[in-house]
Amino acid sequence: MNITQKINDAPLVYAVLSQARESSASDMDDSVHDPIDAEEVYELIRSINDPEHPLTLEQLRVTNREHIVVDDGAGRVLIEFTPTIPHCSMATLIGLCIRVRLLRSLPERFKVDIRVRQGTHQSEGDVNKQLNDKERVAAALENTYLLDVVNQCLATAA
Amino acid sequence: MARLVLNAVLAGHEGRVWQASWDTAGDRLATCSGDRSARIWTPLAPALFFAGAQGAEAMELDAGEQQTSGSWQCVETIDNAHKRTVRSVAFEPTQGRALATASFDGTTAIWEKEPGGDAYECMATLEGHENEAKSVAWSPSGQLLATCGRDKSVWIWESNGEGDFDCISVLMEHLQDVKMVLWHPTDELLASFSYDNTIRIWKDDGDDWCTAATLTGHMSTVWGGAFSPDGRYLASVSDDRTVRIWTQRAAAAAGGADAGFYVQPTLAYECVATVPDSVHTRAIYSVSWCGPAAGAPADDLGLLATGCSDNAVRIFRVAAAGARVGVELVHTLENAHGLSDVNCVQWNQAHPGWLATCGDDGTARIWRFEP
Repeated sequence: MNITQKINDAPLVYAVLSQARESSASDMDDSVHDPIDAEEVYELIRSINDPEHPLTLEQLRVTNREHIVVDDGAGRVLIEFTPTIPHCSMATLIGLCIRVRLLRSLPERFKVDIRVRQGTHQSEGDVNKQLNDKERVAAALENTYLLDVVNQCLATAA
Repeated sequence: MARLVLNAVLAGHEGRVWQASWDTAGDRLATCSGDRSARIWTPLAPALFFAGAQGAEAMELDAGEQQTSGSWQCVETIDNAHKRTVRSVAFEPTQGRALATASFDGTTAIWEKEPGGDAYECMATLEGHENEAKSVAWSPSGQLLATCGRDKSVWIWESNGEGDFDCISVLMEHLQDVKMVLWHPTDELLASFSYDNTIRIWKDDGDDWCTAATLTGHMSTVWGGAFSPDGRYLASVSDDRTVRIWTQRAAAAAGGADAGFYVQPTLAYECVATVPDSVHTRAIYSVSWCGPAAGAPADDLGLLATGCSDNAVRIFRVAAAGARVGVELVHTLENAHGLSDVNCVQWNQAHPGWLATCGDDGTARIWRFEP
């Protein structure tokens, strides 16, 4: 991306807590249904690149494990993310990256709702509405330029 | 117990199916998809199919059903015009020979097939929208066409009698994307449904088209609507998970006969019923209104079908109740398209009780409603 003035020139960078996941016997058993949980969703999105800086969403605390709610039985995922500054114009792009990552990784049966964490963005209503409008998202993903930008952010999340 | 019985699955699209539209005779269904194509489907023997005399037993619902079945076949695939998703498709209502498709590429294409002809040919490409076109609708006379898009505008086109259309009005009064346009069944009125949470009713005042009414009340994007077949009511559905029923009230008299100033033609609409947001658990994308059967009591207003992002199709009975309208849920069909959103529901107006649905699973389905 070719921008001269970054939206957030000096973001706060946080240390990444690595939380080893203990495996149990049932994890290796193929016949046991492994429900998708918040931990797994977090693994999918924590290393998405920020559009502006060579840092991940986890390092910027844009995504947080505690702000992910998963109901495997009902097939619902709710993700709240926290832009680094209240007037962040990258918020919609970041939300779109999260959505595309999950679209490509989660089973189709999951309905994903993505929202800006309440009180963290001055246009959160507008951002939330765009991110959860299926038609707008579908049209955005047919835009090759936008798709390239999203794919760049997702390159590290594989 | 009221129920919806699956009678046919139409598989073939390679992406989500956004809209399904019947032709006026009710024997053909047009669908359009994210795979950039539009398709036309028909049963081998329409008269037999709609009489329910297929010979085979009505199929049990199978969420995984992905084969075309129930004697329907895809007779036409139009995939050479649009470079992006085809979002809306509609048969011309009077002759049924022409078809309009609206696409995310911003254009609306008009197709025609000569009787006995080989394939549909593109007769005209209507350009003008700055970005995605979202809906196309023919007026009941077949003379006017309306389109709308993310550029907040509603365009009205008039047929020039030679297969092409001239733009006669560009209406820029919505504040956000316009999701759908819909003509009134009898009066020359156009309804538009928008991301700005409102519905606008447009009227030709002799000079130009203008807003006759703005319906507010929905708390989020209004995805679409349906007029009752007699034109007295309008149902609308929204991202706010409610269904609202509106009706026209006589506009208040504009002063006495000596008012002396020009009064903008206005209509007054009132919301006479709301299905609460507890019934549908996610955004509602589509609604369709089936009129009451002949000989039904005067307060019977027919049936509503809704298509929802929670994978269900719901059927409601509508009845007049004094100045207001009662809406009663009579059937919920869960997972109508498996674990996928239902994008569009359309009653067959020529064959009452038959419902077409389409969804994110890439299929269209034909159902028979048994009350």
